[in-house]
Amino acid sequence: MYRNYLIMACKVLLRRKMFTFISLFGISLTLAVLLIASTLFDNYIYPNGPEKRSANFVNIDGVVLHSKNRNSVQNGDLGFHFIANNVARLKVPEIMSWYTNKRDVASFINGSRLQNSMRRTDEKYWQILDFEFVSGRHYTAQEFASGAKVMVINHSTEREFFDEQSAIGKKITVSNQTFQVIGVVKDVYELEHYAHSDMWVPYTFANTSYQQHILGDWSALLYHSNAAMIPMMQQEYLQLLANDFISVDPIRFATAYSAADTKFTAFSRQLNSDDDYQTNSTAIASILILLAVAFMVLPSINLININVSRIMERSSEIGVRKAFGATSRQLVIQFVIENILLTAIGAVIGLVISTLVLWQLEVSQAIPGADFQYTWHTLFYGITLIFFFGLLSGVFPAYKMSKLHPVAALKGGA
Amino acid sequence: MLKLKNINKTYQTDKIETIALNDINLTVNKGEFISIMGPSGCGKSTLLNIIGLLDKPSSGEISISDQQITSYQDKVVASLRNKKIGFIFQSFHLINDLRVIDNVELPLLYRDISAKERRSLALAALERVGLSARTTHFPSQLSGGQQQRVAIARAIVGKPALLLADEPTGNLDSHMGNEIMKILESLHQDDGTTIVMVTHDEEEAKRTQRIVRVYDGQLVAATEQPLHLDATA
Repeated sequence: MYRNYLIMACKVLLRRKMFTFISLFGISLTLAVLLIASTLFDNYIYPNGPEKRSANFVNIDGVVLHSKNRNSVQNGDLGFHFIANNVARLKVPEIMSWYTNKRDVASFINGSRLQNSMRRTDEKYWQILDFEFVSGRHYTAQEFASGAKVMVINHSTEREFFDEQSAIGKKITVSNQTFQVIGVVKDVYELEHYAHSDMWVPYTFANTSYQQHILGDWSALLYHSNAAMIPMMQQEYLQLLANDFISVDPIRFATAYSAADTKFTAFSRQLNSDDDYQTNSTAIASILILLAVAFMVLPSINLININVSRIMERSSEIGVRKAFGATSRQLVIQFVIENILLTAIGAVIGLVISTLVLWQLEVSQAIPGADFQYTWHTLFYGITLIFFFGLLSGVFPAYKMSKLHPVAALKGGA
Repeated sequence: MLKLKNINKTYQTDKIETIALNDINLTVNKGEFISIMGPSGCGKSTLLNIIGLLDKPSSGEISISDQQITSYQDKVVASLRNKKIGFIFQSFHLINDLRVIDNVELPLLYRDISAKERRSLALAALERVGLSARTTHFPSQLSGGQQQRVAIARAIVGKPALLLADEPTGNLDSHMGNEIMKILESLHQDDGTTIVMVTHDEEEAKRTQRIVRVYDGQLVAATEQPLHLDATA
């Protein structure tokens, strides 16, 4: 019986090529967009570059400061003073690292001006973030402590400055400071915000004026080898700010609000333009899921319409099958099988399209350093969703059709 | 074989009630070949649909093979249609996407039998109508007469107790119509199949054992060999 159903399904798909094309187009495009979006999102939340241990760390990159009389509010990235006097007192993290945002720096080579991004970091930065070194090494604790003018660059920068030659041991001058290159790392995917840069140097090389500011361009990474300790780290930080905040100016900056974010809560906060650290990441997750569902509802309604008209064209077949003993249930099963076959073909096409698009995004370097990987749960959820809607869009028309009166069906319609 | 008792069928629209069948009483014996005649719109097709359990009477009783129909639940009537009734339609109603053999197998799909047995029964039915050489053709590759023979093979493949033919020659020329009539006669005479046929053609009707005439939803006369006509209005 099922063989007969499958033969019918294939025949019907081939007979009405336009319908089949529209249906497949809707299904495959929806799945492709969902897969691409979820893969980008997934690679953002669970990157496979230097931030691959994202389940084990949180990042603090902003603070809101209220004055004592609460008349004035300032917010921005962390200043070194804030980190050194507050974040540094946390006990739960096993490793903590301070680093600056990327900053554009200029250098000249053979008369040409080059512009690159540079971060200043401590040496623990390299322990938390797992960079892949093409050659050389990162700076050591000793080099960091002594303020050595050493530099790690990425592979693109190496080629930019030295063509095909190795950069190790060579010197690069940026912003009137000369550094010796000691390591070259593989390019980092731009969406790995904490790691992405062209150059990294120890922040100790510069004068210490940066240490006075409560707001600045600093961030802090807090790491624990046990991912289950993440909530405790977050809680400890919140309690510290609530109960024991040390300010550079207790009148102007009396109260501080901030959060230690996982990649996901950081994303939620950006999405929500959350300046007061009140974002509920569960709510954001629900909104994202709702958006994905809503995105699939439209093509599903379209598919329902197409299926209804396609099935109604076959009312004579429905009448004949009923006349010769098919129950409504058997007819529903037949038409749902047909729809699942259509959905499965659409899913395969969608998978191919999304793979090609992601591959193209990688090779074109539209997103520098991108190295996308499908994860099993992205695939699983994408395909489950598409089958769910495939089923939904098939069951309703099939049910409607199965309720056709056999006499009316034989006459060619309801 | 078939007993209709006080069958009424009315259609209710917004304000009007249309009487399609009015107090029909009819008995068809096992092995009998009868024809139903009447002008267009008189209710003969409605009568055939009710006999074939494709439609439900507004009131009255039907028995097929001594089994009274008490429930019109989808599952119940589907099983009865599958096991006891075979249909032949004026416009054949073959599934164009399926090969001849698959069309003929169709009623057997809804029975619990193996694919091998289905194939063997379908081949036998096609042989019975002289089309065993056309099993892998598609309906569109056959003439009208051949298509109706496939439809007959489909109707008899499950060995139903009752064959219902709704103007089986209506879409065919006289030559092909005659061939179809010969097959029906052969099924009746050689296999003892009970056949109820709706027709407009007086000559074809005369080839059956009994003619039942319907006018305005009522049985008005029976001619030829009136063996078991219970009531006329």
